Amino acid sequence: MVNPVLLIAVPLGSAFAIPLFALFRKDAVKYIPPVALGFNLVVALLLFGKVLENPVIVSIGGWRPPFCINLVAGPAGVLFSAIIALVGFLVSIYALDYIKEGPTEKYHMLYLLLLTGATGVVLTGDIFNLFVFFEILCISSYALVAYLGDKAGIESAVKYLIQGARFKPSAYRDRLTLRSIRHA
Amino acid sequence: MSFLDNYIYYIGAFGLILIGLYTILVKHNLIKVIIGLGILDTGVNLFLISVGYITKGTAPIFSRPGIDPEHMVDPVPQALVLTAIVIGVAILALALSLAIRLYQHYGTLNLRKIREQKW
Amino acid sequence: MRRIIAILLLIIVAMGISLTLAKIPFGTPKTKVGTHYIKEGIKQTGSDNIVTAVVVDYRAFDTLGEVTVLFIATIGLGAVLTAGAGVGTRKTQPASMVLYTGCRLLFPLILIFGTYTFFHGGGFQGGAIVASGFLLIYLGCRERRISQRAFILAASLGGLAFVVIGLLGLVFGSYFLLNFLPKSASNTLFSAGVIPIIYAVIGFKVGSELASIIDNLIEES
Repeated sequence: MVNPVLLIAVPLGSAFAIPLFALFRKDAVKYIPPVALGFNLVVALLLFGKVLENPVIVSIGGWRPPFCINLVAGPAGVLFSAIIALVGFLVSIYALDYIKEGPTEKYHMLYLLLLTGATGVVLTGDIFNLFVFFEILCISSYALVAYLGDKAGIESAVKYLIQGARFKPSAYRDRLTLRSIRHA
Repeated sequence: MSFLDNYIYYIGAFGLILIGLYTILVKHNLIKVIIGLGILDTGVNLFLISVGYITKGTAPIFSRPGIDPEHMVDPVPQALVLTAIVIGVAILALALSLAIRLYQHYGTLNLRKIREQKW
Repeated sequence: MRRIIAILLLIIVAMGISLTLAKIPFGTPKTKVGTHYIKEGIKQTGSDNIVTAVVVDYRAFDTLGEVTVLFIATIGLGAVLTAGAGVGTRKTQPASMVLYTGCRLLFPLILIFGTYTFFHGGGFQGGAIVASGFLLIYLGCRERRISQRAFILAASLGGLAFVVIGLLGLVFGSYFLLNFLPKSASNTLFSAGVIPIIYAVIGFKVGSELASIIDNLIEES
């Protein structure tokens, strides 16, 4: 049985490995996102038949469930991560030819990290972990909106950042304090 | 004064959150808005740490062999706030770099004049 | 007009927050997870510092996500600030001999102190100290430069090492990020299994990322 952690760990690891690849061959970098997302798609489809009866709960770190972080791969979670992997795979094939200007290897790193954040949001079972993966998703989208550096992009990115970062701290503060009170 | 003694951290964090929110909503200069973002982050982190305080508790480190584990402060909010501070720093760094590029394009940092996109 | 709406919104938010605050007493133990961590922490992880045990062992996935967020900020800064040639560099006065020599003298000491802080205090704190050493060099001796690629390469090596340690836990014990190295008596250097290794990797990565952010911002001015 495949471990659902691979759905998050493999795109993350390949995003970190892209600058190492760029050291040797600069034009082979654009083939890494389709490979990683194809792997994600295959793992999600393999898990899908398994989770229809009961969800797979994986604990990170080996401790018992309330004292560690869980990943809950239920039917909805695996379905969503399969959709994310499929759409990401198709877009990354299109981006093989379309992304030509600007620092292209940074584009591929940001794209893989965006999809890692999205998969993590869908699969996690812990509120603070949800906050962290949601932040990964949001910050990589701020960086991708401002990627080309032209007038419209930078202005939109500034407005998006201020709107997004205005309400996030208060939201997670309320949720976390209420959850910690309930545990007492 | 015992009310103030007990709740001074809560009142401080609460005040910082309100000041930060006011700065983001009202000021026109982009740098002041980013400073307000930083103040809001600081207030929320302070609030989270002060929730986990136990009266007359010490830091949760077993540095000497005879430390009593009954009087230690809760370690979980401290770990969460460690993460949150670093994420706040990352957002501030990105926001400042966007402000630099915005100034190069428009020549001004007044948010009322930067209105080329309709939304 | 805008100020009045803002003050109204602030009054609503203040009422909401004070309703939450009234339910939380100050200074009483609240969670049973916290007391479990304090009681079982040394036995299960081998680390004396319970906050380190929580950050690196019990909730290591959050630390992985946070290190990723810093990495994204570094790359985003690099992409935004070099896409389009900036203005020419200003003419600066070269530093005096005392400043130049002092900065070069202090730099290795700061690096050694930062590396020491990796093991006694925390990876993030040590990374910040290392980055401040680089800031000293950039402020005092303007001509010395480290190329941007070297910083991003160091950061991605650190990130890859973290993910590989996690996957090794998967291979050895079938849990991601399992603490699989043996634990020995406290107060020795490697008494906590894989925790000091992870912290050293995190510190290396955070230091190089913050130094890359500083390099980008200084080159811009």
